[in-house]
Amino acid sequence: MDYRLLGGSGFSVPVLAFGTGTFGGKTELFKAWGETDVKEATLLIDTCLEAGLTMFDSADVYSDGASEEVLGAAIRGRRDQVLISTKATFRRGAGPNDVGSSRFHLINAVDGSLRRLGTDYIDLFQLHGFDACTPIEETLSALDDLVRAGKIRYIGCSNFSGWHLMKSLAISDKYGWPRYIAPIKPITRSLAANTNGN
Amino acid sequence: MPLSIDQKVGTVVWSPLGWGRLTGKVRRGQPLPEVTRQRSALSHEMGPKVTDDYLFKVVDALDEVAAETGKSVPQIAINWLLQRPTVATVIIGARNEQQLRDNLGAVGWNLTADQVKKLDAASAVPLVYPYWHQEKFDRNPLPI
Repeated sequence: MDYRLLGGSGFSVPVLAFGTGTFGGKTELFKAWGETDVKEATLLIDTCLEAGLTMFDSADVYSDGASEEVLGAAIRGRRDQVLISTKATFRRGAGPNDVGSSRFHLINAVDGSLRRLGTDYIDLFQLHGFDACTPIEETLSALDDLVRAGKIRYIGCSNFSGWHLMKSLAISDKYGWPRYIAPIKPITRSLAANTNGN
Repeated sequence: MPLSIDQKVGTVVWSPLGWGRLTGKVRRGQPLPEVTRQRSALSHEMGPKVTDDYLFKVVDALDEVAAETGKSVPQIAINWLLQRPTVATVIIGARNEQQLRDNLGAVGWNLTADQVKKLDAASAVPLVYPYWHQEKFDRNPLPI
């Protein structure tokens, strides 16, 4: 398996990562993606590790948290052999603060992911979407605190427009906070032609 | 990607097979496979809209390159992504061991420049404004 540096960081990742949206099979949407349980997940992860695929990607909303729980159970005892990326921002409960990229929600979200994954750190923590109701300074300073607390190591973002990412990078640079090293995006042809591309 | 090149940000690609469309199992005039997220109205609604004409033009090109290389359609699609600028990693998805093993075979080799060019051409989409306008100004070339 080849490894590549992720953006301008010193963090190397395998060229293939494994998405765990198929783990859990709770909720109508995620049942359509897959219903992999802990036993099946353990076998799939065995095969990945044999091939040198060491990076596993999840999100707090995948199967309402069950994807992270299955992943956590399937890597138990071998946390040091894997890289974990996960995400937060989307709604997780009915409360007014159970959503978004506020300091309040992100701190709760990271603690929830750590608990479900059964680990004390996340290698790459990504915002799952752009929260236009929270000042970018609040989001990035909370992420800076989470990095300093040792709970997350690198930060990324997903489903951002080009200007969301550029504005965020400029604010990180202004205050010396961590930069997003990886926007995550679906296969799209010719991103120069896609106004949402970044 | 132009922003990512300028700002040295790496790209992590999700849904590299376009919601199961580029598995080689979705084909012109054939019913969808028994098990696919494409059969879920909700999953379909949450994903990107792709016209059949565009999809099958891409699938035809993938088939041609698959025949030339002896690789599978998803392996060709993933290998093409890994040759795009700024891409650091591609997140694969697999419901079972067989799909996983197939996807793992997408690395350790490279499409030729001509094969990449053929796939680029088949998947090209018309530029939206302002990119078609910028393309005509020689002091502002598209970075990719």
